[in-house]
Amino acid sequence: MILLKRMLASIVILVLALSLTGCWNRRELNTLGIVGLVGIDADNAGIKSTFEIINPKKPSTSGGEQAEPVKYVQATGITIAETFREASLQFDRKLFVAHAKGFLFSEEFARNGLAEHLDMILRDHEARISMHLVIVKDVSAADGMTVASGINVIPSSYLEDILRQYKTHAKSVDSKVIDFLKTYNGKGINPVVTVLQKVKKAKIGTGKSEEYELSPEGAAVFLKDRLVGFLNGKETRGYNWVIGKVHSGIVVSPTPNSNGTTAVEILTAESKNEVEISGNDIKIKVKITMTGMLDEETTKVEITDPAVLAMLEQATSQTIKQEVEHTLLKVQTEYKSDIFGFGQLVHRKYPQEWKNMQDNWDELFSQATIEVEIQTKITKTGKSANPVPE
Amino acid sequence: MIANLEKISPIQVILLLSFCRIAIVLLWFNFANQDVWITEILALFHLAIISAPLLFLRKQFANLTLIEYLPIITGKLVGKILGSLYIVFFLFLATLDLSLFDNILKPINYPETPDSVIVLLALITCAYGVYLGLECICRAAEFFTPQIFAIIFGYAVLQIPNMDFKVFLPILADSTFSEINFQAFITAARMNELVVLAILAPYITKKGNTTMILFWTMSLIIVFSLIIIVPTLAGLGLALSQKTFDPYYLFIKQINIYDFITRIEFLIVAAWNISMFVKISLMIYLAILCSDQVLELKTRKILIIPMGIVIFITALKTEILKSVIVFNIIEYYVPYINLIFMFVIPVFALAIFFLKRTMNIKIDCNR
Repeated sequence: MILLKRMLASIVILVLALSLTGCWNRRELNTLGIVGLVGIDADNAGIKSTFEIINPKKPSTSGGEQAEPVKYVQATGITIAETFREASLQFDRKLFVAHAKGFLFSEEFARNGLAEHLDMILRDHEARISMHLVIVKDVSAADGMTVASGINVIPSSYLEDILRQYKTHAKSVDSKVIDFLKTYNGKGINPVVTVLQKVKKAKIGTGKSEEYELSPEGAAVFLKDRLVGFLNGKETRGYNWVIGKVHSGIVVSPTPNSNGTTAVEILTAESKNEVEISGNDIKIKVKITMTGMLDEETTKVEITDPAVLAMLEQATSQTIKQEVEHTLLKVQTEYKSDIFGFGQLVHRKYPQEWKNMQDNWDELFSQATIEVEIQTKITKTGKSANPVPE
Repeated sequence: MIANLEKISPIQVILLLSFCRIAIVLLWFNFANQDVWITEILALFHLAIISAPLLFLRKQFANLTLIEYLPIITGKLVGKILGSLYIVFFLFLATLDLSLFDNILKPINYPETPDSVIVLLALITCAYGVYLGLECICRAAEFFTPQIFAIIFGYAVLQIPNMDFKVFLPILADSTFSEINFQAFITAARMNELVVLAILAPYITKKGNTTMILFWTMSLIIVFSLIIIVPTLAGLGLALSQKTFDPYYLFIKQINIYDFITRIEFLIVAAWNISMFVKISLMIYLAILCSDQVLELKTRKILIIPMGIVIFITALKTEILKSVIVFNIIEYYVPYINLIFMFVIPVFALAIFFLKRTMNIKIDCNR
């Protein structure tokens, strides 16, 4: 009896051990096409998706044939999910999108609305909503996604690295799919998305260099899920000032009472926005506080004099104010889309009034009075005392 | 009657019950409105009202389970019928939990694995848990609950950079007092752990105060539900949280600390597996225990395989494995079904109990 029990236990253990060799849904690495980027363009068939697939072969370092770091495959279909499967008709590996770094949509595509095409990303088990969401301006997404003119030779990594630089200049935004979904689904705010432009690279020297590079300068403005226009670099920084997303950058302003120029590096920037409603009047107050460090002064001024420093602070504040006011005016009059989230402030402060305003908030926002107040403090003046010019 | 009972400690019961409820919150939570976090707290007060009849009966019949004292109060036939309803109730909950488990796990981890395989493997594991008995299930809960609570707490800390508390509106900004209270009532009605406690009470070693056990269980549930709900709401916002079946999972997928701590959602998948195995095992165990007491069987172990087969067939031959069906049942029907077993039947029993008492009919509370 004991022997029988032991034999039975051994058989059970052996059978169970078989189930530990791998799961039902196992997908070996050498059967996967790891997708780095997905570019979506409009096509006669509906959607044309271009996939950047990482080539697992190590690029040759000493002689021999150079392996391409990535391969591209295109597929068409009516929905994005369909194009993912259609790609298998031309490519020898099943696409694996869990490591994709970004979804790129062409400008033409975005003008017709993005929401219906993002459902797949939210619903699918592989895709991650933390991917970068990018609008490719002027050219097709397929065209824009092939450029890698930085140190990184893989376009998806190059793209990710260049997008992450937004903190150093604040003249672009780094939007993720989740940001779009939150703002599109939320009330009182509209999405702003990263924009990429394929620009001709300046020819430097006589050596071999890439012909094009990518520029993320600016931002794409949406009304609900439709692209309505773009902000340029300065306007994008104006937007970032308002929403408190300026981390660093250089503010260049004319030095008062001279022909010189002052460059102040942003150390910290904060914004505090308030809204007041009286009757039919909506008043929005934007208060931005910036501390900075003097990085460059091109004319002779007494930096050590507190009065001069106060004058430079005033000039910097004026430059920021112009940037912010210009952006606000453009968005209010041209795009009529509350990308700043002022509607959310109204919702929070005036929940009862908001019920009547929420449906036409963007229209009300375009008519609102906006006051901008800037406070700049130059807390550091760098390593030098007075400027070099005599 | 309690001589042959397995023994469990009050702390094991508290951990087991809170574990079972948090297991569901981890998998599915309905973000009905902005004030959903307040409804979690208010639910404690509603639960106090809902639990009153069962707690009163528990005091009267300290050594008996709910299934055992129902025939004493209502008469043998009615008592057996009511007891049978509880068997169906626990089988239903086991099937529903299994279906929920399948519906969360399959789209995320095992899209190509047939439902039948997921259900079968889960049932075999749970059946083994049931075979080992209540003490084993409780020890598993005692061992895993602190770890899973630590994971939830850890996730909350790691989620801090992604949270924006500006999304929270003033209380009652988008809802009314009656709406909040209704939601709190529904939340309280979801806590069928009350029925589980009414059945497990005689198994508890130290004759601790059942009310206090319930209080601490509910407090733990509310605290950890809030640690799940508030960060999710702050991270995803209300509208996006309402879009998915599993917003908590969606949110923890976003954890990225300096590109160093990232893609750590596998911990939650481990938590799902362990907690659902414990919960389903407990439900099957209770169904078997109720059957044992209704049918007056000598051994419960012979019922494990038949019960497993019933759940397996129900899961595969009905529509319950369909996402829409299971989520609709959980959202719209479960609170009311729970209420029948948490409140309506106990109130009915209590009414007869008082009626008999006023008519001076003797009830043996210590049979």
